[in-house]
Amino acid sequence: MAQIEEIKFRQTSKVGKDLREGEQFIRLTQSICPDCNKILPATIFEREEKVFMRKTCSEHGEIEELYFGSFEMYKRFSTFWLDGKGTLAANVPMEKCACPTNCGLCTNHLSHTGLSNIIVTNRCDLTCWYCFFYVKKGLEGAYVYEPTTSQITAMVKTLRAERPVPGNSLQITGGEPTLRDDLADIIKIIRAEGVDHIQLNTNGINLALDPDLATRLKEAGLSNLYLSYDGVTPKTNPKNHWEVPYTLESCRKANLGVVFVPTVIKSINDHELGDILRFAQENMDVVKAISYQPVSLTGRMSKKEREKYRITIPDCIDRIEEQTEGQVTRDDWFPVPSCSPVTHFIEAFTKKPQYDLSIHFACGAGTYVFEDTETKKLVPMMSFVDIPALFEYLEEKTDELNSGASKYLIAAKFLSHINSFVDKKKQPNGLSFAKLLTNAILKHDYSSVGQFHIRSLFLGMMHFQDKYNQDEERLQRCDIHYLTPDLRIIPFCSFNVIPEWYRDRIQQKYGLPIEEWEAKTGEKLEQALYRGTLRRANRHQPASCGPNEVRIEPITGT
Amino acid sequence: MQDFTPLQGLRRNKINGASLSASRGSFPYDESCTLNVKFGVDGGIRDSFRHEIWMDAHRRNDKYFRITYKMEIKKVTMGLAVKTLIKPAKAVKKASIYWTRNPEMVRLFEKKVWALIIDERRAPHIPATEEEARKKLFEFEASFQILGADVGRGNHTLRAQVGASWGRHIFSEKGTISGSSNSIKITCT
Repeated sequence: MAQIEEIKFRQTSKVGKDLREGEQFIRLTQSICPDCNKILPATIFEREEKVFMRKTCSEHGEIEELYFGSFEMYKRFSTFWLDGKGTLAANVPMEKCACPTNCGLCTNHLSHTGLSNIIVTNRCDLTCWYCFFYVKKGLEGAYVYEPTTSQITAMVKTLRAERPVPGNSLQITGGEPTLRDDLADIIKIIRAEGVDHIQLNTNGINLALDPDLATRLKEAGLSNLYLSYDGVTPKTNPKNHWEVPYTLESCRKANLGVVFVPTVIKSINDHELGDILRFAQENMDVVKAISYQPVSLTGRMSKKEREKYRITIPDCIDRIEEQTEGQVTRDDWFPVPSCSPVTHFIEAFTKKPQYDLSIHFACGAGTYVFEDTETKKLVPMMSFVDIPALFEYLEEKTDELNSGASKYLIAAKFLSHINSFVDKKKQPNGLSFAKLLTNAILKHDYSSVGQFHIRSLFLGMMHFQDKYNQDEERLQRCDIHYLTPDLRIIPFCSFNVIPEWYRDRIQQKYGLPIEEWEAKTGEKLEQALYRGTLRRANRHQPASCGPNEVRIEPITGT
Repeated sequence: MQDFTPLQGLRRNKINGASLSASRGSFPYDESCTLNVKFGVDGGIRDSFRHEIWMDAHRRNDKYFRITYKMEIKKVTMGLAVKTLIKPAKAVKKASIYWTRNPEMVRLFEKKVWALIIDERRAPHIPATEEEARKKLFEFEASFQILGADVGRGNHTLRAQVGASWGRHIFSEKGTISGSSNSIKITCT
């Protein structure tokens, strides 16, 4: 018998000893100092049913931050903690783990790319106060960053070279990507490299102003819009309140799906999460999903300010339950890595590596809601599918397949069991969940996933980190990555959380100083700013839509 | 998951310490009695569940282990367990082998892998030691409440039949083991 060496570590920890009265230890991790980026030990602990992080920098003192707004939900989500496959061909070989330095992806990263991002410009036609990602005059070291099409091609090739799972989902982002005249060409280039899913992160204004743009982009190969949409009133959503209905109409005509992306800020728009869902439901023919994003607090901020704005995934989930009068409850949500039983079952069934959403359980959550065709009420999947039992069953069958069971026998068992997980009496009218799931799991192709969205809204939640709550355990598992012209693949929460090491350096290296860019293009940076044409048009209807003289009919909604 | 490489010289797997106990030896017909079943898994599979193997398993993308526990309580007649009192019940425990950023581990190991145990009630536990991890994963306890009507008036001898099973991993072949507990006598009046 091999000798078992006893390993004790937590009891000897000095970090865990900084707990105070009323606090319960959860785990230790590493984080960074918000002032100097020094890597610090950090304690994750529970207090008054919430989860906090505490860390102390020898130079800049103690930092305590809300990490997760519900301990009960933290515990439930953590049972889905499962490390991913990572990448076999890392771009940055690393002997030892040194997060958050040298990201790119390195040998120690635990998730392959789930969604890649290419910034096609950092120019924007808006100047939102909370946004950290647009170039503006007056800032020291401000560069206009617009990679060339050949640089973009090389970036996409890098994504496709990932192994064991080539990257297959890409977001074109900015700034405001529609400011690039060659956007349709860029989409064609990405599509030509074999990327199946291409989405456009946009404020939608140019798609509202130019009704044919959506069609042109769709024809070029765009899959859907990732549309910034922060609330249903001009106060909560000054950026595109008047424009979104026109954007939706353009997408409707182009048969282009839309994902609403509200940045959720406590005390600013957290009271409208239910209204956003209702507006999405009204436009379910074109809106396929909502991705709520609790705000990431950038720059130096006092604790008081952080407490004013900080909101976490469980807080948003609770507000959605309150604001939908219990139609979508907190128990309906699952963490993103809960998809693993399905992925692993398909992997064991096909004996091929599959796309795995293996991010940290505290990073994101999701649920599906279906609209009952008769009552028009939203019915969460959990209310008619026994998801935990289904996951248990898939895990059991995965074990059997990995232990040598016949895949045909397992497939037959799966087909005979699938209905037992569905309560047909509670299933919304017009839906056959068992059929949809069978197609998705046994055909395991891209189109069956698409069918799954037809009568449903996917509700997602993604909380990007900032320097106050940064957790290396989360960073190491990040699967939302940036492609950069130096052919690295950088996790979102390095790229944007420590811009001085990543984003700013990339933009400086591959961008042009504003003055140089203006001289080269003959344009002024502020020329692209949106002047509220449609807002004014709404105020003075009937009115034209600005320079191109397109007449726009009012659309009900916001 | 990569190819199976069996560990050499491991002990035979077996059910260990299976015991059945009752909250009281005698109880009235219109009241209830609690039966407690306790057992563990011992042998190679338990010995393999240690840090060195976790590191290898993590490196080879074998990061998830689940073990299914089964139990059934029967009435014993003429020395044979013949009549089922508590129908076969099943519970699952899991271990997720993950890369931790615990700063204490960073100091101790080159690659910092640890195990998260998820018990049969889906509660997560980060054990402080390897032995605590093994206890959480390989020891099982369950309680059942029976009514007088379930057993009937008189003296009864009960015994639990228990078992455990797991799948194939880089450190272990799939396995199924079973065993029996001690017999206990209860009286329903």
